[in-house]
Amino acid sequence: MKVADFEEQWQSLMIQSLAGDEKAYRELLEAIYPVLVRFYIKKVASQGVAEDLTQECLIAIHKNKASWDPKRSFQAWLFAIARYKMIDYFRARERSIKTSAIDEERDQVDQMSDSTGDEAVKELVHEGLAKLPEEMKRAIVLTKLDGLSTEEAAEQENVSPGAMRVRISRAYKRLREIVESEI
Amino acid sequence: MSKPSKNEFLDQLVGDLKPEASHLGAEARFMFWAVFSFCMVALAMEFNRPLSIEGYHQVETTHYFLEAVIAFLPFFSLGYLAFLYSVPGRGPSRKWLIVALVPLALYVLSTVFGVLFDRPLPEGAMIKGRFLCNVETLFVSLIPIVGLSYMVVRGYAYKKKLVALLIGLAGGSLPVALMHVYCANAPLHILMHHIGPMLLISTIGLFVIPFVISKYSKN
Repeated sequence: MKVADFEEQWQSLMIQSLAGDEKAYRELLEAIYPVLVRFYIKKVASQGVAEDLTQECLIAIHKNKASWDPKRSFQAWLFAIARYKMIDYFRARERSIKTSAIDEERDQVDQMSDSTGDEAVKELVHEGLAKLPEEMKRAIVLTKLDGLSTEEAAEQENVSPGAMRVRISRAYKRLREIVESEI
Repeated sequence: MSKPSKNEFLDQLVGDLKPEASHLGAEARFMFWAVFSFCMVALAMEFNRPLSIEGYHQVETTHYFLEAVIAFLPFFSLGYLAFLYSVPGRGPSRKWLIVALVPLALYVLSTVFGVLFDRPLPEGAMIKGRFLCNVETLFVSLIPIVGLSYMVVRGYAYKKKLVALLIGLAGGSLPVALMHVYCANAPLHILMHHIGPMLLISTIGLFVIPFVISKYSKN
């Protein structure tokens, strides 16, 4: 049977759930849980992430039960929330990838100065820092030397956290190029 | 803290189940909001300064009358869309969004053309206008905006910025439409003192309403 074939049954269970019927609610959640896991696994290709997303989706459904109109399709409502949760997941992942790219650049510069322990290399890094455009230099000073988080630095510089991430990433890339060219 | 197993998780949800009070669909909630807002805004304006008979002369001209009719449409079309976007799975496509924006665009364009081509005022027009109509437009628009925001927060608005824009424009267009009759005036006055405040409140709403939705909705 296709998922669409369960529409009527799920609608009926949801109506009973809205009235406070725990048995019907349990039956509904049991029925939609594996359907949601399958839905997510096609998109994220990971059982663990699919289960996390399913649970997040079910929490959203639980909190927003009243937003479903019993005269309308239950599945359209259900899968719309499922899609919202998936978009949230991909957005969060994209942000995390950007952050880790910055961390990677930062680590490379750290390694250049720390691994050798060579004062000359440290000197080059400082010289490179001085050659950076003012806003790039401030981005590194604030996040590396002053120890501020990207968000705090963004607030101080009066830019969005996204813009600050880009600025830090470019600053480290430029600094690495300057130091490498000197070496 | 480790993730609960499927059964533990479902037990928690079932254990937290509470019967929902009988709720209205998007259409019924929209009708309630539209009627309530219309009555409250009209009452507030009437209470502030009763409708002047001078304005009728201008409203009686075909062009101005058509503009008045068009001015009311965005309140309904954009308000309805805001309700639909707060129900998962019911948000209409971009095509319908554009269709809903057409009356507002027509009204603004008609007024702008009136300014550019210096449309003559009919005899008996309320040239002096209504005292502080711009401030009044700004303040009374809060009634539909706050009402609609409250109802949207109780739904599930995912596209917060779009919904905020719709709320601001829908709520702001009601006093603009009423002001078209209450303060029947020249196109330049309408553009600056009626449409201007609507755009201002919509812009403020664009920043404030998404924050309100994020803070108070159950998403």
